[in-house]
This record gives sequence, structure tokens and C-alpha cells, in this order.
Amino acid sequence: MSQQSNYTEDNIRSLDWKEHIRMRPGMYIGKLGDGSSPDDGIYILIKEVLDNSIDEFVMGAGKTIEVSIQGNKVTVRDFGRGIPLGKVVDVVSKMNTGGKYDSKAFKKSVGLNGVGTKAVNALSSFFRVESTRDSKSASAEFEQGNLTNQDFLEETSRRKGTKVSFIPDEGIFKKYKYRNEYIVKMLKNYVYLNTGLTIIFNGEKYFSKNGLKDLLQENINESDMLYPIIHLKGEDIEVALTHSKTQYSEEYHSFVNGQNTTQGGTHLSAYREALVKTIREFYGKSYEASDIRKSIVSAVSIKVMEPVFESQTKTKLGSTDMGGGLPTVRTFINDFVKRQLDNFLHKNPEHAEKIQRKILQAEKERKELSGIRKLAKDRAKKANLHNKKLRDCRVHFGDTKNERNLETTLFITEGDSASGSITKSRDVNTQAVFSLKGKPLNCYGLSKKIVYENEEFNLLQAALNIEESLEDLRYNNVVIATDADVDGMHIRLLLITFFLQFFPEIIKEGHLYILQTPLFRVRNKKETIYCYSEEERRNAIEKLKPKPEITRFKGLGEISPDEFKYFIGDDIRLDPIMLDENMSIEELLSFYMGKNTPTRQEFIINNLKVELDLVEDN
Amino acid sequence: MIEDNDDILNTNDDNQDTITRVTGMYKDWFLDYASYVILERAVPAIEDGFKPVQRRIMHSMKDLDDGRYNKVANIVGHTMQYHPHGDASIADAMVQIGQKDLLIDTQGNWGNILTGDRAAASRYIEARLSKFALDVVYNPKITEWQASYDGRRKEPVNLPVMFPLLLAQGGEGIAVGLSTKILPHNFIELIDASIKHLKGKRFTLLPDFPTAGIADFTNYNDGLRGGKVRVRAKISQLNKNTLVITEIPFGATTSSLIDSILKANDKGKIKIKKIEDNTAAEVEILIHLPSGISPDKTIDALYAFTNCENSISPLGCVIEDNKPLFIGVSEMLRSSTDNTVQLLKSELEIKLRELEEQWHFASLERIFIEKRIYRDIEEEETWDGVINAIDKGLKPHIKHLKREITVDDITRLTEIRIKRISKFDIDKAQQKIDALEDQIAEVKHHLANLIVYAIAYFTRLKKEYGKGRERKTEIRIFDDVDATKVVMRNTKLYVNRDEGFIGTSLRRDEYVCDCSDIDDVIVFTKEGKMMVTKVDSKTFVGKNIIHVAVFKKKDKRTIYNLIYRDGSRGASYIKRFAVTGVTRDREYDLTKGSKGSVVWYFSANPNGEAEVVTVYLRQSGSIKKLKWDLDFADILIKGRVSKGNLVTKYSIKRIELKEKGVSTLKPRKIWFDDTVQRLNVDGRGELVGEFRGEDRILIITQSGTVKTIIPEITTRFGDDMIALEKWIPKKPISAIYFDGDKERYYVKRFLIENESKEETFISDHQKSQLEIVSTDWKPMVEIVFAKERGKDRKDNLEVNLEEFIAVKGINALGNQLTKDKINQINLLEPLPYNPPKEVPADEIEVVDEQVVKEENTKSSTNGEAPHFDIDEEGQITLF
Repeated sequence: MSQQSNYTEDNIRSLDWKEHIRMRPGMYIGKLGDGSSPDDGIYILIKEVLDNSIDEFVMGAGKTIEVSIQGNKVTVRDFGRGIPLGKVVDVVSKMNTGGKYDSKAFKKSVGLNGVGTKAVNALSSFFRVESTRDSKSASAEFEQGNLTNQDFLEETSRRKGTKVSFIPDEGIFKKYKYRNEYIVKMLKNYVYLNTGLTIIFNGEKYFSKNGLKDLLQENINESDMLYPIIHLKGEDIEVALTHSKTQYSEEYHSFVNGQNTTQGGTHLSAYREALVKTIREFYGKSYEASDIRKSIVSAVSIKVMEPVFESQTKTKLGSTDMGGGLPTVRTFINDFVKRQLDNFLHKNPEHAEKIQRKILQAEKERKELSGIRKLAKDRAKKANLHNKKLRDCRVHFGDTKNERNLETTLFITEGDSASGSITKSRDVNTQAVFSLKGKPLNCYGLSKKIVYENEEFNLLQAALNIEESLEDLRYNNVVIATDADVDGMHIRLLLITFFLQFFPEIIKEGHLYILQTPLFRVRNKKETIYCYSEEERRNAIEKLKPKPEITRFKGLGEISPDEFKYFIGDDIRLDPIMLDENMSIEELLSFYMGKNTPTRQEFIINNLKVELDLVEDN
Repeated sequence: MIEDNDDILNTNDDNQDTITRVTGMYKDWFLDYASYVILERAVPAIEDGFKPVQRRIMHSMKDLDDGRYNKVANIVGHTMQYHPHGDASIADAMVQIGQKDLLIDTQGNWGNILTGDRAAASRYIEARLSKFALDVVYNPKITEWQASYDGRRKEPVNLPVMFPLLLAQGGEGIAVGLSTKILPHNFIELIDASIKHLKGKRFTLLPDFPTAGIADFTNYNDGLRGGKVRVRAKISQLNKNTLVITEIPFGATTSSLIDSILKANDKGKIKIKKIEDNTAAEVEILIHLPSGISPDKTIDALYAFTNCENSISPLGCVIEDNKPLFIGVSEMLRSSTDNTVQLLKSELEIKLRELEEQWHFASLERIFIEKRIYRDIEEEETWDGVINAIDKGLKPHIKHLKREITVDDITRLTEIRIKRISKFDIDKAQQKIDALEDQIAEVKHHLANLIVYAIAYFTRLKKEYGKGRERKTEIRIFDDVDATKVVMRNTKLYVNRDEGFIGTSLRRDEYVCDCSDIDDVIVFTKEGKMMVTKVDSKTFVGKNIIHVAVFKKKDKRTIYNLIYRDGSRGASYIKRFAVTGVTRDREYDLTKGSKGSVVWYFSANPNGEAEVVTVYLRQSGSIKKLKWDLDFADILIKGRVSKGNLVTKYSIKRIELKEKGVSTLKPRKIWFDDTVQRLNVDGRGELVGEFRGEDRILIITQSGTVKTIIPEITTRFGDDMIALEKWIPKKPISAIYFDGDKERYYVKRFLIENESKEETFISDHQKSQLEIVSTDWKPMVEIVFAKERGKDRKDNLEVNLEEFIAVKGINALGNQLTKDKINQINLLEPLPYNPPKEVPADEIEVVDEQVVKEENTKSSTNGEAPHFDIDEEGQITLF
């Protein structure tokens, strides 16, 4: 560690980068969060590290990447070429240092500016990097970006490659916890986009043979597909698509250089446009664009040279050019889809016929809705002027320039009991409140008409701005905040049914949550503890002995606004709503929300939950 | 550096939370909600018949009970200590209990179940427990308790209800995945059933509704799932143009009933002029009808199209041991009764224990004072010493006691006051002990004869509270109302024959008839096709329509006469057929289906008339006979698909109607079904007779009126009808009546002169009454004379009424029967008489839908009617 004695201007700058990252983590990794949301910072950290390993795979070095998470410690091991041993420290701790600046091979990678691993380093309470090449190995350990240990092995039997371990800093990520589901989803995206790559996560192998086709297969139930997935591949582009039988909306998974662009961008809009154009020309009819795209489930991935994103989190592509002498993104995608999809449809008339029938059906449904549309328009106008159920916040999800856009949250509350307190205790910049009156309608089995006819649903749709697509969703998090009593449970069911039925992608893309509120408050004169479970309550009673006062919260109305601050502030507890591959949405809804059936009756009777209070002796 | 790659491969990692997937969430929440709603909200418990909210209300009322009325709002507030839900829902639940008029003694406006008026706000109305509730619902000693939701109070798990309350009050609840609907039953009948059950006898239970009305419980199914109860309003005819509803069916209110009637009127299903709600304490809804509308039909239509008839599906579901249980009402009654017996037993046992305790102490006290044991303690200094001394002192005298003496007993003895010892009266003490012994013996007797005791208990309940709780709903069996027969013809049917459209919107085209929107229409086309379709605004049925009419299902009397040419050059055939069952919107060929077939002649005959037509042939070749007559009466009525008889091979020029036909059908038989008080043609009940077109039915009532009507199955008959038979105009009616004015019996014989008028044939004095009426040709009566004082009873006299008086006008007074006092008049067997034979019309049976197997090529030009064996097809229906 000679740097300390060489106290020069350079040193001051390298201290700066750590401080800067730690001070403004949002600039590097988006939001912080506690791991309950897939875009929380701790997942971005893994991504940043993993991206480098992926780049190695893309270069043809190392077909397997091993990832493990033990508690909070993340380890990523690739079998690539390994970081040049002399630069192991620099690469992870010196700003603007990296191998991808001059190598042409890295042109189509995501991590270009060499910030990623440095950010991970700076935000970790423990960071260790180890590189092995030519039977030699070098390693370095850091703490919050400060080098604490460095080692060099002249002789080793280890396979070449890089291994990075880190523990996210609890000082920055408060009370975080990794959720395996999100990691698995992320890793799956990697293997879909990098066919041939095997990722081993905690011993489990992930591998994809068919790339995006596998991705779609995962996302849509076989029985729900209108026709087998169309899978098209070309230089720098891969496309897969099918139509869903039941889903109303469009669903896209878009990627740029392996990065999941959840908010789309230039490539996605070009792709959607290309689809419409191709299909119109194929059938020789000018179908309405929305009819063509209705119920489509599709994935698109392109490789762009030096991509430009609209934010550091890289969820929306801004580039218009493919780079490297290729045409614009739009022309490139258009040409590809036009040629490939057109060919495919000519070769597979049965697909073409099914698609056409779907389009005609969509057209019919749309026309049926047109009577309602007038009402919808009136309603929309009114809601635009003022959405009477909504208390909005200042920042919205679409404001990509605003660094807090990922924090935007809409609380859907039950009646008057909670909306008042949430309104009073919220952060008006990012937290909005939508209050329901009574129980919403059970919309299972109803057509989309109901979204226009039912005022509450209509206003909710307007508040979320998801009538056409999810693209303009106004809040990153949609949180259902109901009482923790049985009627609250019922409202949750009804609301999720609404989303599953008409806007399943809001759940698929992980925007929907349930707000956990404490069940008990245990306090004595000095301290108050809010407990979310029976176990927490027992611990709290033990802690606040003797004679703590215990209040059971039956409804959110019992929580005063100043208490509520804790429950929706930094320590907010959210349960994400995630779909299950084992059961299709249709099956789920028809069983729980559909008509009474003998099976369901039996199911209820066999699973009745009986809660008995102790019978007192006196 | 140590290679620590193995941590990467370490798989068993439990640190991360796994996220509950949406299916898991659905399961959890759904079960939470469903369990709660089933167990804690919507379904009553089998033990006491209460849902939790009701039980908590009852418990609160007992808490607050001091014999005075309490404001409902107060009771509701108190109930919220046990029931953590909205006050409005509790108040509603309480009003419902109050309206059942059994458990709560109400004060103020508690709403009206007849009109549906709501109760006044809960801050106005007051309530206290009824005597009945205090008697059967509570007994804290045998109540099992649990902590209330916040642990601050205790509430009963079940109330010790010693009565089948759930069945008396009924109950309804929609839970998740299941629901319950238990109908209310009659208080007295329930007690009777309980007693029967205790006696080991069988019993049946039928519901009884507080709104009265009429109900058909044929398919009650013991209140189990799948059962069905039909309830009707009581509608009667006030006068020719007015109907009156005096009782409403369960589940309806006068307002909802009127709304449904107005709705049916708006839709044109029924036609009324005005409807008035004159309901006060009793229901009275007046329905004024426009003139020319049949009140009978309107009553049927009211049942068919309005809430005047409702169908209720009971579904018995209760909670037992925290599980929903689907059981019938008999099972519920048995369970409740058995439970009552158990409760009575525990009550007795507790009483016994108390008595024995009293006896024990009274005996001890007696010994303590009588044997002067209190003196033993004078020397003692310590408390233990005192106890021991008493114990020792008592020892010799306690052999007859039932249990050991405890320290507590002795302590109690030491607390006896000196005054009591000094004034102790040995006789009185013994009397008290004896009285206790008697009581103990009595309780023991009850315990030994528990069933008898329980029966006595139920008998007491019936005696004390049964007054005014008699059955309200009349039990009847309903006939089915055929909606298409009673519906108003509210729209007009049009046809465009050339284009082949029929419908109610084709106002510019040819008018066919009035019809209703639930009617079916039958259409025939020139090509010999037939179709039945529902009335719609516009329907295409095929070009060149030759006949269109409202189709009556199962109509065997309407006969279609048809002559057609098979194919474009084929032979022509003649056939007669009825159309009974067909599939809607399916095209049927009446020809052989060859292309180019055409109908030469067609007629539809509502009463199977057969006309004579003239057939003209086209001149060609050597045909000699170019014109001849053809009588349809010679053609058998066969099925729609039969080919028919050959008319000619030659080309027909035209066919003309020569002579209108007469009916060729057998008269229809009509029966009267006593259980539903309706006529029918299906052989139910008693045969009234065989009727032709103009034949009428004679009806005589006890009030002395007589009328004749054309038999229609919609006709309703009053309760005081005493004679109903086929009217033979020449047959006289003989009657003996008591004239109130002259206080004498008169005999008269008369014929009905005005067949369409209802007439009274006895004098209209208040005390006048009809004694005997006979429609026999030669009726005989026997007069039993009253025994006059001091005289022997006159012998019975037999009178031949035909000889007694000649047939006179209906308004004639008649002849006095006898001057003597009459005790009784009996109708005897009439004398034999052969009535003049009726001349029957040609009887031809209708052969329905029979496929002709035999080819008949004989041309009818031979003048011979082809002959087939007549199939015994039986009855031709009325409609």
C-alpha cells in the first residue's frame, strides 16, 4: 500500500469516488431499498458484478458462472480469462479504469464506463476480488472501498477466472434481505439472452437452449398460447412472440446487450411499430394497431454498439443508432421484422390464420366497447381534470430524469379508515394515495367493459395511467394497503383479481405489493415496539417486561398518522405479489373468485381456519 | 489465500425469505375470509340457532336487562364490546330479531314486514327481552363462556336455548362457497314436533311464514339442498273488475309486489287499469282491471309473471363443532330437542347440588345448636382448637349426612349468630329440612324421568306462549300456470309474404294477429316447408309464405289440410295433419322434399274442420274427367311426415273451395282436479264430461247462485261451489231452500235460461239458505221431521220432486215443502231415468305424427275414400 505515502492529487480523487458513490448511490444503482423489490440496489450490485462475467462469456471464455448467496454475502465466480493480475486493484477501485475502452470485443456490452464494480466495491462492507490466470492468482480485499488486504499467489491449481465476493453495506442498505425469486429471475434472463451459458446459483443449474423462446415459455402458460412461439434470430437481434388467449394487454420483454430494459425505449417502440407494419402488409389490410398488438406476448433483444440509456439503471434505451456503420435502431429492427416475420407467416399459414382471427376478434371486441368508450372518454376527461379518488404525488415513474422516480408509490387504501392517516404521513414527493370506498367489485368473469363502467376501476386505471399499456405507468410501486382483518383480506383478493384479470403485466413486472402493517403495538413508558407477527409480539412483551400495554390493531384506522410514518417510511414492509408457474391465472381466478363449486366448498370445509379464544374458568 | 470455492456450491441456504406466490396468498386470504364469514358471520350455530352477532345482541340485552325498555342504540353500543364491527350492521340485525316478534319486546316503530317500511333510527326505538326470551334463552349457570375479542369481557360460546329457535325464526346467510337458508316454521307445530320426538314418534315439519300467503311444500325436501317451496299471494276476486290481494308471499313486501306487478304491466304481460295499496294492519292491494279482461286469467298471469308467486330454495346449513353441516329441518329439530333435554338435565343437576348443599348445612346447623356443640369451644384458645372441638362434637351425630364435613362447613357454623342460637326452633328447623328433602326428591324424580319432564316443559311453553301463534300460511298444492296461455297479447305480428319475413316491427306489411313476446309462430310456405320460430322484431322464414299463425304447443285440434304436388312434374297428394312437437327454427318438409314441390291448396282448421274442394285439371291428352270434388273429411288425419293420398298424376290447374267444413274431431274430455281446484284435460281428478265447441259447464254454489261457463283450464272456482258438471240445457235443476222471510222450506225446479249470466235462485233474505240441490232428472228426498213437544215424531216422508213440482222459471218462488217442522232433509237415490240420447258428430280420431308405411296408390277419383285402421290414439286435447 504505497499510495498513502505518495500523497498526491490522484489520491484525493480516488477517495472522492468512494465518497461520491456512497453519498449519491442513486446515481449509480438506482434506488436503495431493502430487497423487497427486484429493482432494489442490492440486486443491481449483483448485476454489476455479473455483467463483467457475462462479458467474459460473450468473449467465449468460460461457459459457466457460479453464483452463491450465503446470508448477505454474494459470491460470483466465472471461468473467464481473469483480470490481468497487476490491475486487480485498479479495476475495482480506480474510477474510469477498465478493459472495455479499447477492446472492440466489448463494444456491445452494457458496462462500458467502468463504474459498475467500483460502485459495488464502494457500497460493500466487505469486497473481495480474486483473479486467476496462468496458474497465478491475485486477490484484494476492501471495506467500503478502502483496500484492507492484498495477496498474490505465484502458484495455484485453480482454474482461471475471476471471483468476486461482497457484502452490501448495511449502513446504506438498511435491513436488506436478498429474495431468491428475484435473483433467479435475473439469472434466468441472463441465460435466455446468452444461449449456451450455464449459471449455477446455490447449486441449481440454469441453462437455456432456445433463448428468448424459453423466456416466453416461462412467462405464459402453454395452454394459454394461441399458437406455438414464433422465434426469429438474426445478427444482433432476437425476437420471440405469441398471442395469449386470455390476456387483454400487450406484454413485452425487451433487452439491450443483455440488459433488461423494463421501461422499453427506442428499440421497443421500433419493434412494436414494425410488428404492426409487417402484419398490415402481410394481410393487406390496415388493421388498427391496437387490435394487432392486443394480447401479444413477446420478447425482443438487440445488441447495440455503445448504447445510451436514459438513466444509470439502464432500464430505458435512448440510442437511436445501432452504431458501427449500421442503420438506425428503428430501421434495423423494422427491416429484420419485415423480412423474417413476413417469411415466417408465408411459410406457416396456420399461424397466420390464427393471428388474423385474433385480430378480427380484437376488432370486434373493440367495436363492442365503442359504446362504452364514449362514457370512458367522458370519464377520462373528468379524471384528467381531477381524479377525485386520488391524492397524487409530485414525482412519477415516468420522470426518468428524476432520481426518485423508482420510489414512486401509490397506496390503494380501504375506505376512510386509512386514507386520512396515510395522506397525512406520506412523503408528498413520491407517495400517492388512492382510496377505495367499500369493497370493490369482483370482476372475475367480467369483460373489460367493467373497467369503464365501474367508476372506481375507471379512476384507478386513470390514476395508474395503464389504459393503453404499462409504458406510461405512473408509479413504480402499487401498494395495496388494507386492514389486516378478514375483510381486508377480501379486498386484497378482489383488487388482485382486478389486476390479474385486466392488467396482469403490472404483477408480472413486479409493481404490485401488499403493505404489511403491524398487528400489535407493545409499549411501556419508555419504548414502543410495533409487531408484525405473533412471534414478534412475544419477543416484544419479553423485552418490555413487566406489564407492557398491548394494543391489537384491527384496522388501519386505529393507527395515528404520526405512527403511520414508520410504516410507510424507510422501514416500510412490502410483500411483493408474484405469479406462480404451477397454476395459470385463469385456473386460480376461476377457483377462488368464480362460481361456487362443490370442489371449492369441499376445499373450504376441509381447510377451515378456526380461531378459538381461551375459555376462561371463572 | 485459501480456496473457498465450496461456499459457492453450498446449497442449503435458508437465510433468504422465500416469497409467497400469489397462489399461496390467494389460498391464505381466501381461507381466512371464507372461514371467518362461514364461522363468524353468516351461518347460525346448531346449538342455539344464533349467528354471532345475534348471540352477542341477546347477551348484551341480558347484560342490560332490568325489566325496562332500553334504547336500541344503547344496546348496539353495548354489543360492540363483543362484536367488533359497524354499529349499523348490529342495529339491522337487531331489528330483524325484533321483527320476528319472539325474543324482543319492542317499543316504537320497528318497521313493517308487510310493507317493507324500515324501522325508525336506533336512537328512537326501544327494546327489552320478551318473557319468552327470559324463559328459554338464558341460564348463566349452564352457559359456557369465552373471552371477548379484546379479552376484556366474557361472552357465551352458545346460549342455552331450550327451544328450536332457529326453526321458529328461520335464518339466512350467504357465506363464501356456501350459503344457508332456513325457512321459518310454526311455533306450535315445532313444540308439537319436539314432543313427538321425545315420545319417539315421527313428525314432519313444514314452514310457516309470518306474511301468511299460500304455499306448496310438495318439494320441501325437509329443507335440504335441492328442495323447493312455492309461495303465492292470496288473490281473490272482489268483483268482476277487481282483484284483491290479501296476503303476500314470503320474501315479498307490498311495495315490491306492486313494483313487480307494474313492471309486468309495463312489459305488457298483464293488463291492469289501476293498482292501489290499502294495506293497514292487514294487507289489501286492489287491482282494478280494464273491462273485458278475464280476472281468472289475470290471477294466473299474476302468478306467472309477477312476484305474486315466488319459488324459494331452502338450504339447511348450520355450524356444528366449527364445521358447516348440511342438515334438514327434522334433524335440526331433533338436535335442538335433544340439546334441550341435556340443558334441562344440567339445570336439574345444578339445582340438586344446591339443594343438597342447603340440606347439608341445615342439618349441620341443627345438630350444632340442638346438641349444644357450641359449648365445646368455650375452653378452646386457638382457632385450630375450636375447629377440632366442633369436629369432635359433631362426629357422633353425622352418620346420616351425605358427605364429609369440611373445614369450610365448620367455619360457617362458627359464624352463626348468638341470636339465632337462642331463638332456635327445633320444629321449624326440621320443617325446613323436610321441605328440602321433598324438593330433593322431586328433582331426583325429574332426573329419573327426564323425558317426561322435558315433555312437560314443552307443554308449558306451548300453553304459555302459544296463544296467537297459530299457522298462518295455507298449505296447498299448486297447479302449473302455463305462461303462454295467460300472457297478454301485447304486440302485433306482421308478415311480408313475398319476401318471407315475419315480425313485430314490420308495421307496413300485412297484419296477422296480436301476439305476446313469448309466443312461438308457425309458418308455412308455398314450397311446402314449415317452421316454428319465436316472435321477434324481424325474422326471415322463407319466401312465399302461405300461412302464419301463433303456434300452440301440443295442439292436436288444429288440423292442417294440404294438397301438394311432388316435385316440379310429379303427382299431387292430399293430406291432413296436426303439428304438435317440433324443434324451434328447424325447417320441416311437408311434401316429400323433392325439388320444385308446390302447395296447391292449404287450410288451417282450429277445430279440425274438413272442407270440400273442387279440383280442376289442366287439359291434356285424353283425360276425361277434368273436374271433381274432394272432401277432406274422407282423409284420415295422420302425422306431419306422411306422404298423403294420391289426388291425381295429372297436372292440376287449380283447386277451389267448394263448401266449408265441420269439425271432425272427437269431443274432448274434461276433468276437475280437486286438489288444485282446476279443470284439466290430462285425466287428473274426476271426469266432468265430454265437451264439444259450445258445451258449457254448470256451476252451483252454496250461496244459491247458478251459472254456466265455457270450460277453460284457467278458470278458478270459488270455495263454496257445490255442484260442477256438464250442463245439459234441458235438464232441470231441483232445489230445496229455506226462505228466511217466511221461515219455510220451498221446493223449486227450473232450467237455466240465460246461459251467460250468473243468477241467484233462492230468495235474497239474509237467513235464506240453500238446503239441497240436485241435477238429477228425478231426484228423491227424504224429510226427517222435528219432534214436537208432546207429540210423537212424524214418520219420515219421501218426496219425488219431479212429481211435487213442475219446472218453472228460475225466479219462481216454488212450492212450500211442508208445514211441519223439519229436522233434516236427505237426498236419496234418484229414480231411474233414461236421458235423451245425444246425437254425436262424426267421430274421427287424430293420428298423431304417424308415419305411413303403406303405399296407397288408389286414386280418390274412384270416389272411394282410402281406409286405414284407426290407431287408438285416445284423447284429443283441449289446446
